[in-house]
Amino acid sequence: MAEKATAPDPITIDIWTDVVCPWCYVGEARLQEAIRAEGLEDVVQIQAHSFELDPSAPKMANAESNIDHLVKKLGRSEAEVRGMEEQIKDLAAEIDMPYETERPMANTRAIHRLVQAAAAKGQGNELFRTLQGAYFAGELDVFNEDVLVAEAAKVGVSEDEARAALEESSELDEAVQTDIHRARQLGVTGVPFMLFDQKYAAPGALPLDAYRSALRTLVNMQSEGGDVDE
Amino acid sequence: MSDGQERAQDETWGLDTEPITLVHSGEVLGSIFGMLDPATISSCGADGVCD
Repeated sequence: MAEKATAPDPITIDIWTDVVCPWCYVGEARLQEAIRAEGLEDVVQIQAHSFELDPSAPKMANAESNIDHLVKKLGRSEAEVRGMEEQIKDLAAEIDMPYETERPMANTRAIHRLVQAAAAKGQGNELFRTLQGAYFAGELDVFNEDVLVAEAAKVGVSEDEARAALEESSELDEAVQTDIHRARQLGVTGVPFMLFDQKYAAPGALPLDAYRSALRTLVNMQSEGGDVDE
Repeated sequence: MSDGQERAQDETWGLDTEPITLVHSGEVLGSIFGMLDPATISSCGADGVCD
């Protein structure tokens, strides 16, 4: 069936992100709120890409408290780290997002491979968002392999496929590395990193109004058939 | 992660040929995001440090 002539072109948003990245959680929630506020749920197409937040973090089996992890990593006091977490919690609350300040922390490479397995079935965004939301709500231990396998099954990744993806030798690691390589090509040094319509880059979690402005501008550009003047 | 649709990975990207508008240091060159105070932008680095 031919596409309706009046159907708007999709607005694409590529997001480099990590399940355990607090600012990704906040920034992506703001983006979702902006999409809803602008009524563009059927126009925006989001694609999550892997970005390993902290390759030096302990392996999943040796997950530690995020507080302890940051105290050691930053060399700051526990009170300072807890204060940082409380600040992010306050910002998450502004958009009605739950935020557990004490969470497990470990290397996320295996989680990225699992999300890539789901992405191969068109369910990568769904699994990512489920894991991210449950992690920050304190509802799931995303470093527990059985938990990951169970969540992957809900989006159509079989247990065998999921357990294979969690293995370091999984060929899906190449897909993770490809995403990271693309991020480096773009000069990405932190996440979230969002690329709108493959042209307009937003490094970091921006304010809600900035996302709304971007979406409105892109819609207007479509109707006018041009780019933003630079 | 989307309320919208998940799209297939593609290889076009256009990143080698299309200009990229970066938001940095509060100086926005024709940005679609509007003028931003850098203090309102937060991110987590590849070393796992978030600020």
